[in-house]
Amino acid sequence: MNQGNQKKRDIMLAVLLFILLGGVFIAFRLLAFKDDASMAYVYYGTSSDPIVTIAFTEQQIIRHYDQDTPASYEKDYPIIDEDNQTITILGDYMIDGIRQDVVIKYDFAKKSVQIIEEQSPNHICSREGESTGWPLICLPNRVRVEFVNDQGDFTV
Amino acid sequence: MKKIIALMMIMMLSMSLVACTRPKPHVFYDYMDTLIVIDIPIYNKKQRSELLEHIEEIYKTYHDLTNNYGPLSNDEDFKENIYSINQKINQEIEIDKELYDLLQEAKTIHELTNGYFDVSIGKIVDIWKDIILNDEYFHREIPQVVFDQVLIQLQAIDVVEEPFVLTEDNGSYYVRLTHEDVKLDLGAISKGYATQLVYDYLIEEGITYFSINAGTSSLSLGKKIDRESKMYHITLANPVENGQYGMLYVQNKAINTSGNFEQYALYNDLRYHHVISPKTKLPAQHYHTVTVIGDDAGLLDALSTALFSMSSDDFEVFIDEHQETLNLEVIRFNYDETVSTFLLDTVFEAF
Repeated sequence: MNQGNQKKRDIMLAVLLFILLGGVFIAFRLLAFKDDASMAYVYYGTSSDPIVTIAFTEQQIIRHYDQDTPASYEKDYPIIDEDNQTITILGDYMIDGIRQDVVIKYDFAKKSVQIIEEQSPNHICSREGESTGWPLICLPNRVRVEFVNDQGDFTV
Repeated sequence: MKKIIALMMIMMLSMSLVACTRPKPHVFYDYMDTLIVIDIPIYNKKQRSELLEHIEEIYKTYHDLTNNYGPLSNDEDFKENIYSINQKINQEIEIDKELYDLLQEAKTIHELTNGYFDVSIGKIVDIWKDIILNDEYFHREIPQVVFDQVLIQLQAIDVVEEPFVLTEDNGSYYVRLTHEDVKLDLGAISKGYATQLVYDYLIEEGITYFSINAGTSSLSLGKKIDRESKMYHITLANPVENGQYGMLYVQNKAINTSGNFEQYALYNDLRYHHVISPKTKLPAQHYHTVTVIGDDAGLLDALSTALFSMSSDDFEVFIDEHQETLNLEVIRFNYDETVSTFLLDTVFEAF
């Protein structure tokens, strides 16, 4: 076989691969940083992966993983109640050695989230009201709700 | 054929590298009553965990030292914390250098702000916190009788001109509280101060791309890795209705907001919140929020608190005098819902 031809073919193949990889890379970048304005994430503990996603536009609640709770609690957390539009997470705050529920109410139409029930000193997070953008943080329970911010990286 | 297989293998390897997800931000729940989220997008796991370990140590140190709810526990290797110092009025107490330096910084800012920043009015702050956090008055009107009682309680407490004295002797550090009415509360500076130490540490370690979100009102930013301009886009929350009122474009800056919109009670329809003016012993109602942008998170933490209590005249005098030297920029959401800006180079877009 002609050596020149083979070299040409190799170069072409390399260029082709380069373009292909470039395309894949760009696609990944776009997917990785795609923001959707109408979602809120519920986090538990130190995990940076949401345990539940509230997709307002799609009117969907997506449960990502189960909470690892001791068998004595008898329920599978998070509890998603679509009739009452609530998500219940087992918080870390204890009363008499028993961990307490954190109940989050969502409203697809208003694109809002509110902590309606939680036990903690001062009840700071259930007093934060109904939010459409402000993060709700329940420190002693280690539960937080954050909205996907389509305009900025942070809100102060 | 061999070459094709080799090329395919390279391709698969490259794809697996591309698909590698960006490391997730790290969350601390346990320090300074605040959720702290650190984003350092570096892939080297060992380096990342070493950085995070050191950062946690910084926050833990200042959490332990500035805690004013209880004494140091046995596993905390410090001389005194704010709680134990507050129990020993008029005694010369040996403290750690870290706390000495922080108290020195608080004293410097006290002088810089002509007394508007004051870490010694803990007793006054406690009286207001009891009201603001009371279920009956939270976001509701305080009854006249209760308000009058508060005023009587406040009258009985003096704001002391020189509330504490710091001394150094042969490498040992001491503090002495000078008056019965002094109660130190470093809540308005310690988080920012520790965050600035974290910022300095990251820069020293050669980290360029990062963000530190210490509570919802306090940010310390490097550059943004996945944006061409490398600028962070920061939206400002509207304190009177849901939504945002503007956007800032920044990098290598600290930002801090003091506001009246989360925890407050009402009296005559005005918001009584947790930022207390040492001049009047009352929460001020000049502005809804004061957002400061600058180079030092500790200074900004304290300044946003001090500026919040200043009348607009005092505020402008302070800005005229110090803006250039402190490289300080401010965006103010006024009580009449107008926005005032005092900017140098930072770009702000109002919505």
